[in-house]
Amino acid sequence: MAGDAQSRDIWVVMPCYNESGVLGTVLGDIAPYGYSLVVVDDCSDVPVSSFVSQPFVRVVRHCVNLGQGAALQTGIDYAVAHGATYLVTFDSDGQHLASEIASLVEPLRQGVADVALGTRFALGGTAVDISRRRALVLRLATMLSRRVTGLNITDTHNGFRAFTRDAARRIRITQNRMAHASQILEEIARLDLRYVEVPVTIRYTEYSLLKGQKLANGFNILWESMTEMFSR
Amino acid sequence: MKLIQVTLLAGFGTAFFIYLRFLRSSLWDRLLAVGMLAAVCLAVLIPDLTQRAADILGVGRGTDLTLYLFVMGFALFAVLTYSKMSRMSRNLTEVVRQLAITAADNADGPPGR
Repeated sequence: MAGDAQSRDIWVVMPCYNESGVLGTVLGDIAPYGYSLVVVDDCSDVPVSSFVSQPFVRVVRHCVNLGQGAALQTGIDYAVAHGATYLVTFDSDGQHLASEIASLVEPLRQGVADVALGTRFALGGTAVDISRRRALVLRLATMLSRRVTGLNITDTHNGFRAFTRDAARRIRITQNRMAHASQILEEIARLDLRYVEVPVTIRYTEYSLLKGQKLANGFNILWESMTEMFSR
Repeated sequence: MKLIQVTLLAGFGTAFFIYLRFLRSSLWDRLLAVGMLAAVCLAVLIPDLTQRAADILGVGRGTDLTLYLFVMGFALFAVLTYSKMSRMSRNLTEVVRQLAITAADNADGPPGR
């Protein structure tokens, strides 16, 4: 499978900020599948290009730190410009499984959806080592997202998603930081895109929990969404 | 004219000049600034005016009315400034993004290679 045309038309978009401890492993997991891959280095202290040298990895570096949402949009712009047919957003902290990328893209290949959203809470999805408190907060956030967007979803703020080229071009992320995840759902609703949920695995490791997975982010996300309304 | 009145008028006049000369240029901005300066000058020169306005509006004291207006003005200023900063942030994001993609293309080759 590695390197065939069907794999190369999938572009993995990976925002990255100070992930030098785990990024090499994550890239190593993806390498065998032969996907095209762009890492958006959001001005990490140690530039990604200084320790990543695999030829299949393209690195785009922000000269100032903008946030995960901005990095995602940069990666999407880059992948679309380079001819991506399908785009997969993938966290760089080791939470997602490269082996599940193909199943996430499959509904798009079959033409039944424009966007595939990973879900850890639907039947078949898994959240490894998730705390009860986090699970509760995420379920409340999902209820809120369902009400705000009208989308029939079982998970929210799951960074594992796939887009067709056309969907990726139409969605525009202006929320530079964490609220981008809600904004993507709002864009799907606004643009009336066809979406499906695909069960995926999310691994909560000690590393990922230390790296900005704090529950206080929930308040920040709400704040960013509200303040965005004043600046439109 | 009392010393405090001269001081206040000089201060407001300087702020007014800087605002018009260096910060804003549209007609509505200038008219708004002129109107505010006129109101401030009147309040300084005829202190009883704020008390009379307070009586009409049902506020106890002229100083209270001045404080309320100040707080309202400050809140408006804060919102407008935040909005402007957000727009600047969006522009900055776009510039950084384009720079990053251009630099990557220069290193890896342009799209369609």
